Amino acid sequence: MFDRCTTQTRTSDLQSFNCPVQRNNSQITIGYTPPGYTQLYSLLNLDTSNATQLFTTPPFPGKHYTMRVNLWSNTNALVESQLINITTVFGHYLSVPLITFVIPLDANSKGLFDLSFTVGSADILPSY
Amino acid sequence: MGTNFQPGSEIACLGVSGFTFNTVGRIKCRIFPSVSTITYPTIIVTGYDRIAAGTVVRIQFANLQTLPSEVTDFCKLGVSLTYFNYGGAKGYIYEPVSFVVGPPSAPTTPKTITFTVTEQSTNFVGEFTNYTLAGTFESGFASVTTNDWVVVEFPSYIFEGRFNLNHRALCSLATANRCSIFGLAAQIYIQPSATITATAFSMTIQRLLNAAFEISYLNQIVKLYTLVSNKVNAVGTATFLKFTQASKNISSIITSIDSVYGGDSGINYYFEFQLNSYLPEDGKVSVFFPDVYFSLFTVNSRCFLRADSQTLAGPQAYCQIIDRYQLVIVPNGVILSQTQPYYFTVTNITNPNFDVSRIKFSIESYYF
Repeated sequence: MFDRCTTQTRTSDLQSFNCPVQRNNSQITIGYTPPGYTQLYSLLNLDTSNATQLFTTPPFPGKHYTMRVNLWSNTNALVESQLINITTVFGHYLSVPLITFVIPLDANSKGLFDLSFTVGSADILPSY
Repeated sequence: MGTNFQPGSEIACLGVSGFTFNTVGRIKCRIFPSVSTITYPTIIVTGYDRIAAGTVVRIQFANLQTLPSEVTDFCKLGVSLTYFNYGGAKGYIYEPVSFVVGPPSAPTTPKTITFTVTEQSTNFVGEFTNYTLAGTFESGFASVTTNDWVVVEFPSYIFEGRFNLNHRALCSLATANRCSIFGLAAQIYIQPSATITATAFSMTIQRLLNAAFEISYLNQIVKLYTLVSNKVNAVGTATFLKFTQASKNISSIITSIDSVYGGDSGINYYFEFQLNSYLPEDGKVSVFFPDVYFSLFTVNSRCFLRADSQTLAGPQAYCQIIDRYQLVIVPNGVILSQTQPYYFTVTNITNPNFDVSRIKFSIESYYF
């Protein structure tokens, strides 16, 4: 159960509610019943006061982390559904001063390109 | 860069330091040329094991074209990850960062190198060849320091294109320094152990593996040049006669079996083989059982080198059953003798219950 979920349609209108969390394998579902429903913009904040239950960033970078939002009617009919990219997990950065790339210095000639760099704080995964 | 290549072509490259290769054996570098004015030619390097944080990695690419005169440009370097389970979605472990390269300057007229090449070879495919290059630099040539390079460029297919088979080649100039073999470019970059100042020189390149192709008896041209501060300073060519012929066959026999009666089980087969030709340290010898036998897995067979052969090959060599009808003898980093036989035993075989005198086992040596 998340205990700091809020919805806000305008600055003066902040409403709190509890939202149950279910986990089925890697699928986490957070459900809530809004105090009311309009088609106006609404800022939804899903949060908990227990810091140990907060989400952690996935260990691997990418843009493939998605979240599906379903809107159900009071008769349990699916009204709307949307799949969105919730976040892009960014990678680390290599240190530019530690990169050297020596190229052939005879213009337009073919030759040896000698690249050296230092891996940062994250391991590079095997590549086969 | 890369305009002569098809997308995905493999280019000559070498993992100089920072890599381990327990699975693939070498790095593979593929180039994807630029397809428009706003895209970049890209080189993708794969084939390495996990690289720990903080490791210094050095990669060399050979035979690629550099920038025009007085042009400074930038390259980007990053490490990406492809999620095959998510339709090939891509993320960056290290986001691409930009760094400046260049500028090159106009080439100067190089000095001349006059030299001869001699080769000592058994002239079989896949065998070692030793080369000696001796001659003189034209006076006024720039000294080649321990940070510069002497480059030997062979015609294509004279030596084996896969660097992991040639990484044990020895360059006499570089006993304590780098001798980088670029198989796909047929080039050898040698960083001398001591500065070369004398006009006369003689150097050897040893243990260079002949390519796995036969070559007709033909004059071959070798190019030699020095790279001082990454600019060509002296250059010359020489010719030598070279040919290679197919290698000799492996010979093998079953020396004895514990029982010749059909249907007998739990018996040992004793094999003997002799290579007769060179097998690289990373190669293997494979023995195939005819499929009239029960699967070697089903009968729980084991195989091992006989004690004297184990001693001859060294403790790191082993025999292993890798398929239902196949076992391999793995030298595991040593060169097996070409003149002495090796013996190994396969245990727990069940004899087929009929006459198998016309059915043959097969044996082969191979490398990747």
